[in-house]
This record gives sequence, structure tokens and C-alpha cells, in this order.
Amino acid sequence: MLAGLVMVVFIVAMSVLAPFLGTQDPTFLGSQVDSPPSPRHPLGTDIGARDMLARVVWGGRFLLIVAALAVILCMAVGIPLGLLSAYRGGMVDRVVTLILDSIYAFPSLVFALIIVIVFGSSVFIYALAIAVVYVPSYFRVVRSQTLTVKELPYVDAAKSAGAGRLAIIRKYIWPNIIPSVVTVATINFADAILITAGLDFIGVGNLTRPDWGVDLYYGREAILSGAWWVIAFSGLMILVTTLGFSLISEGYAERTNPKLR
Amino acid sequence: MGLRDYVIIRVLLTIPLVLILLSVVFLLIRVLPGNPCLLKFEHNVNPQLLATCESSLGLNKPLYVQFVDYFLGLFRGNLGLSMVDFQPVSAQILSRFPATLELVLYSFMVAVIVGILLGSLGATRRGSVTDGAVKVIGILLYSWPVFFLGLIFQLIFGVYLNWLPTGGRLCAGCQVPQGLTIGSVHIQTGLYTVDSILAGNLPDLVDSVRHLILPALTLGLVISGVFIRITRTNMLETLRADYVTAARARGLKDRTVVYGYALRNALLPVVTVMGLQFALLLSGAVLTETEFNIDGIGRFLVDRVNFLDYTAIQGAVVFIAILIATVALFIDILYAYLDPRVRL
Repeated sequence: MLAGLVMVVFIVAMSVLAPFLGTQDPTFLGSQVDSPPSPRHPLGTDIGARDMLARVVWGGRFLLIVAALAVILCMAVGIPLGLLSAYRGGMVDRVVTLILDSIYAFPSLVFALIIVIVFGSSVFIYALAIAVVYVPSYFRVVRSQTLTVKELPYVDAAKSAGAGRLAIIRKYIWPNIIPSVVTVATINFADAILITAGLDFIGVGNLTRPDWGVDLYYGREAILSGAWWVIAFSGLMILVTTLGFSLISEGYAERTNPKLR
Repeated sequence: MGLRDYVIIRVLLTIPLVLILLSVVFLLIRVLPGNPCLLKFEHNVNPQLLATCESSLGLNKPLYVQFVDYFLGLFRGNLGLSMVDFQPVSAQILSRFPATLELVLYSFMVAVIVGILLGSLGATRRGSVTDGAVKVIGILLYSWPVFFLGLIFQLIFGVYLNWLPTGGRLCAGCQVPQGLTIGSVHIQTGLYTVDSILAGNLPDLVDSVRHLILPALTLGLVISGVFIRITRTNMLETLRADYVTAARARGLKDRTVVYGYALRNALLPVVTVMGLQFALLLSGAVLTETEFNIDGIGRFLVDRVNFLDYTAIQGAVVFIAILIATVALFIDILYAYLDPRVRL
């Protein structure tokens, strides 16, 4: 978990501090196309002769913003929906569960691809696309945890002592669903990065943006002439980010659920 | 509940799933700006020709009529005409499906073999260095972007070592394996590895396998991360079960206990996860097909997205939805068969 935290802090710090790190302009089209690492370009240049070091430093900003926004959107929709469904039961529960289960079963990248194609490739649309495919995950854990907890004797006791529904949710249900929500959120963060970079990789995003996924899109051509530096560093950055979040998720899950150890 | 009743209920539950996805995608795609007929004629068209084009695609009808028409056509296996080349979408999809199926099947095999081997290895040596390594490999593979792994493989094995091709399904200009003809019956699956075996053509088989190795390894290894973790966790729980202790107490060999008793039971929950992994596998297939120039459903979808080919996009999505529903159904039934408790 510590290793994961270090990785995530490193990536976030680099992305936040990018304007102050004195790199070259990541979108500046130079003249030396696909040149290997050199003192002038420590990580080489890409097919547009852009400095790879600058692209690596700047390339995480879009991905991280999309992922963070997506996680917030997912929580804002998925958690209340899960609580509502578990509490109301009946028809509402069945319909909501059926619709969200359908989305859950579908390949997330394909769904996100269609949303981005229809509505455009802005930060908000990317986040929305990922939120749509990830809300079902939050919904499922919140719903199932709530269903379990709300039948427990101490909740019944609180009810008979006159506690209102909101008070029960806040005091008894909420603390029980937090661990699962945090675990889902960390995986969601990693997956959001993978989906966003994946969409960039197939070329549906804005290809002029400094973005690790876009670098890999250009890298498909570049590697045929052996230009490994175009893919290596940006790819590693994506990997470090997703690995960091996966490690945090794993560590947190083990800490809150000793059975997994 | 008997197995037959279970199957019937499960089949009925599949229908709304496909229907919901179909409606969502139908509406989403209709929101798209741009008229495919205008795109086709590059905006210089007389109104009459435009009207003919729109009526041939059914675009002049009200939205709900288009939806009902589409839905009724679906039952006859008709997914409409492509808005780009005016060919039937169902035929285009079916001709590309074998490429996706072949990739997915071999990737799945890689994922299951690697997942079960490493997962059970870790569980039987719990807490050791091997177990630690297995855990790390599992998380690493799970987090690895599939397109990045593919690029690395292409670079190392395709460009530097020049051992394997970096794209396509057969060598450039090679003929597609013809399959087998017995009397008047012609068997051709579209899976090049199978067809070349049927035709008894060794060079074709070698060629198609060579083209499959890198994409199948790429996709399979990334998916195997999940299998490693699930197998390990389940195996750990099973190894603690009373019947395993009992088997050990009776003096059975460790191998027999682990692989004869524990593994079989530990794999039961793995079967259910396979259904969900299938969706992940298809997401990965879209990326892998694009990366390795494999002419499957995923690449078809990405290509048609660029032309705003509504019907083709919709057709591909409906096809994927039906495919997933069918696989989920099959896996649920398999699970109900393997574990009678599910039917209670």
C-alpha cells in the first residue's frame, strides 16, 4: 500500500507541478522527428519532433483530471442510487438493478467509446463516459452492503428507539459501506486511466493534446522503425499510475478485510 | 428447481438485458449530429437524391417507427444496411466475427492456463517468496495497459528480433485457408487455425499461429492477472477446508490433495468470474485488434465510428450485447450444473 501511495503521489505531484518544472512546450513541433534520447532531448522526440520529456511530464494531467472527475460523478450517482434501491425495494429496486446490471455486463471501453463519439472528447464527456460504465459497480456494493446491514439487530434497535431513516443511514449504514466504496473507487481510478488512455490510443480523442495515450497512438508507427523511446516512457507512466492505484486498493482491502491476507 | 426450469428462467432474464442495451445505444446514436446521407454525398446533392437516400435508410420516418422497424428486423437477423457502403450490416459483422472469436479464444486459453498455474502455485506456498512474487505478478498484469504490452511485444519480437509478424492474420497476399469439403458439404469456420487443420495445410497453420501468438499473448496475459488473484484466494480458502485436512490426515500425497481435491473445488467460483471477464476480454479485443490490424468486430466498430455509420455501430453493439448475454447464460447454466446448490 505504501509503494502504491508513493507512486500515486509522484505522478500527481509531477502533473500538478508540470508548469513549474521548466520543460519545453509539449506541443511544440520541432524539426528532429523520432530522434533518440540526446542531451537536448533527454527522452528523445516523437513523430512530430516534440520533446518526449515534456510530453511525459505534461501527459498525465488530462488523464488524472478525467479520472478524478469520473470518480466524483460515480460516487454522486452510484451511492445514493444504491441506498435508495436497497431501502425502497420492490419495483424501483428491480428496474434500477436490471438497467445497471445490463450496463455492468457490457464491455466498458465500447460503451465509453460510443459516448465520446456522440458527445465529443472534452474532459467532462470523458468523465461522464467512464461514470456511466462505473456507476453500476458503486451501486452494486452499496446496495448489497445496505441490504445486509439494515437487517442487523442493532439497526432494528435504533429504529425502535425512534431513529429516523437519515440518522440510521448516517450513523450505522454509512460506516459499513465506506470500506467497499473506497476499494471500488481506487480500482475505478485505475480503470478510468486505462479507459481514457485506451480511447486516446485508438485515436478517438484529441490527438493534439499532450497525453500518454496519444503518445502511444503515435508510437504505433514509430516503433516500426525501432523508436522505442516514443512508447517506453509514456507507457511506463500509465503503468505506474494504474499500478499505484491497484496497490492502494489491494492494501486497503487487506487492511479492512483480514480474510484476504 | 430443476435444471430445465432454471435454464428457462435464465434465458428469459437475458432478453431485457439485450433490449435495454439496444434502446440505450439506439437513442444515444440518434443524438449524433450530422446526416450520413449528406456525408455520403459530401454535401453537394440535389434534394431529390437526398430524399431517396434518406428513405432507403429509413431516416425519414419518426424515431419510434425506426426503433420498432429495427427491433423487428433484429428477430430476422437483419441489422439494417450500412450507411457507408449500403451493404447488410449483419453480413459484415458475421464475416468479421471469426477473427474476434479466434483472438478471444486463444487469449482466454492463455489467461486461464497462466492464471490457474500461478494462482495455485502461490496458494500452496502461502507466505513464501514464490507467493509474494505471484501476488506482485498478478497485480502487475492486472494493471498493465493492454495496448502498452502489445507495443512492447511488437517492438521486441516483431521489430528487433524479427521472429513474429506485428499485424494481420496471414502473410501479405496469402490465401485464406479453405477448410474441408466432404461431398457436397463445405466446412469453413473462418478461424484460420481450425480451417488450415481441416484443409490439412501445415504451412497455413504455422502462418496463422505465428500471427496469433503476439495478440493472444498480449490480451491473455493482461486478463490472466484477474485469474491469478481469484484462483489464489479461492485455493487458500479451499486448502483450509475440513475435507482437505481429512484427506491429508489419511496420508494422501500432497499432489493428490492439492490437484485432485482442492483445485477442482477452488475452480468453481472461478467459472462465474469468467463470464464477467468475457466483457473485459472484448474491451481488450477492441484495442488489440486495432493494434495488430486484425479485421474483427472491434476494429470494424472503431473504423465505422469515424464514418458515423449509425447502423454499423448499432449492429456491432447489438451483436456484442447478444454475445455477452449468451456467454453469461452459458456460464450460469454450467455453474448450476456443476454446483446444484445454485438451483435451490
